[in-house]
Amino acid sequence: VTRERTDRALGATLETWMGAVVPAALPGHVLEEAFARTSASPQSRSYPWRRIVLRGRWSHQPMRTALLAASALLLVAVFIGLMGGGSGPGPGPSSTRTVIASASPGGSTVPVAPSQGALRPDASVVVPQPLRLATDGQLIWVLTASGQVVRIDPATDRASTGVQLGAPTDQVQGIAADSNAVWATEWVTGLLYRVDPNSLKVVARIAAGIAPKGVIATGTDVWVADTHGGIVERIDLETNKIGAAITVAPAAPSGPNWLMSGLGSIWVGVPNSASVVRIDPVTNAIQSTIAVPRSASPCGGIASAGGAVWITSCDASTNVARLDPSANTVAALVHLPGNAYAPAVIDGALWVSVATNPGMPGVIDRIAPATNTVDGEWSPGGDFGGGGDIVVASGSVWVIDLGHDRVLRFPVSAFPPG
Amino acid sequence: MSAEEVERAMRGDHDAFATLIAASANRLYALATLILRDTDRAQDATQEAIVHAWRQLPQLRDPDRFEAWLRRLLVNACYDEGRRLRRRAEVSLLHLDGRQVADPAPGLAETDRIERAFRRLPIEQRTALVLQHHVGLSHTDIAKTLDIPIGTVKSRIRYGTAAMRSSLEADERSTLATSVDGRSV
Repeated sequence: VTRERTDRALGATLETWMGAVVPAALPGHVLEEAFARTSASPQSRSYPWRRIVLRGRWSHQPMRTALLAASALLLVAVFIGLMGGGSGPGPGPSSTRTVIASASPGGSTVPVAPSQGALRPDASVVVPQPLRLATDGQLIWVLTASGQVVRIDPATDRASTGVQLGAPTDQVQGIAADSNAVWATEWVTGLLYRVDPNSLKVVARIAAGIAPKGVIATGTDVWVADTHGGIVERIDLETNKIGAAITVAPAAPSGPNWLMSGLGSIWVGVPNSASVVRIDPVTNAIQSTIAVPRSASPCGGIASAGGAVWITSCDASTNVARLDPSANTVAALVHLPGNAYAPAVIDGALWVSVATNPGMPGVIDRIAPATNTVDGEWSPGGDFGGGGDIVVASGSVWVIDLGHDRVLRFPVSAFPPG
Repeated sequence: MSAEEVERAMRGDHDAFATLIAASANRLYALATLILRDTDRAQDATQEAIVHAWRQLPQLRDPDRFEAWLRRLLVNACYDEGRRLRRRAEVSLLHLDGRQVADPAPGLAETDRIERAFRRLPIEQRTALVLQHHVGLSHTDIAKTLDIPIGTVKSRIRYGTAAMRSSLEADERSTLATSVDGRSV
């Protein structure tokens, strides 16, 4: 009886303790990431043949082998039939990866892009935990996972002492630079930081919504995407305050992510509505909301090349969507061998640093806008960490080597237009 | 949360799914944090459970059971996390055991003692205790959630409670001995 009483008391103590130590809320970025993953991931549906397989004598090895062989033969027969018996002028083997001619979801993937061999850096600049890159065309700015902004001097290939934006955190998100200022967003405090590029000091902390992520500096304006607020903000550079707020999505996780200025508009990817929103920078009005197929997820970086706008996916989807700015539609999807988050345009071609399978080295791929194909693949080394940013500055190409605390510098000539 | 919303999510409506998850996410995270006693791992487990929920949602047989089904996915994700990082958990446990100085604030000291005793339990016992004392589930519902016989639920709760009691008593004796030693010096 005493033990029972003690156990009841212990139960009550546990209940009180659990109520006291339980966290109030799931951090927003976790939910954000989960939604980005789910929006890019197909649901698993059960099909009748699955049930047949499970209930049948599937575990019997010879039967399994026979069924697999029969399925393979059937697929080959269907394929030959579709190709007109194999003698017609069907598409022959391609030497390039890609190729979804229309924007229909679930397109084909194919052969591997021709390897162009090794890519040797001119220099390797040590920067602890580099996350993102930005440039004003001359200097290179790095946002690090400790919440610092670091300047790389291209004359010496050395990094400056970092500017600590706020409390050390890896929840910093985006960085942008022009000749007047460097801008960085941080998720926990919801701040946009303005850093003086000469004094390397934080000169303004601007409340930029619930969860500011993407930021771009166009020379005359700064635009910020408040991901959880569903808003794109235009910053007034005189007052360091939000000058205009354009609602592009409901206030919810996975709202507006990354931005790009080009072809006369501001472009922003909005994963939770599977769209890219186009904003008129003169009137601040939404010009168009472009639907992106489910086989791409508009949560990656955006660039403009070949008269088109390109947006990379993140997580499960690895497709790059090509947007036609005259029709405001997705014109093609280009499949990559892994995730690439920040495309860069060099000599008219689109370049991406690609994170391939875990444990495998990353690669740098070239996408040819004329053919919507990945027409070349380079390897910067056996331990290169792909998936980082690429920028062009001071006549060189700068690439983050993710996971190796360094930024690599390559000659522009190593990135031919194709 | 309505059954219609669950059905829409089952048919692939991501907005409906986001609404459902937004309503449950904090509860899931609370549960994961209590079971794992590690914020980072709890966040990982919660995210994994949400992703699994989306992928497996078309297989949910009864939309009215969505909340319980989600809780089950979360518990499984916690078990996966527990297995993945068992070694790290042992290291932090050793670190905690080495802390002999009593906390000056009595409330904090008590919380710390319960924390230590709770952490020493196997994850299965922690889960059963959390589902009983925090979520308030009956033994039958815990059995359904964990997909285990009700007898197993009862034994996990009994042994978990007994281990907690022994651990707290031992801790109390140790604290008493330390303070007595302290007075004699």
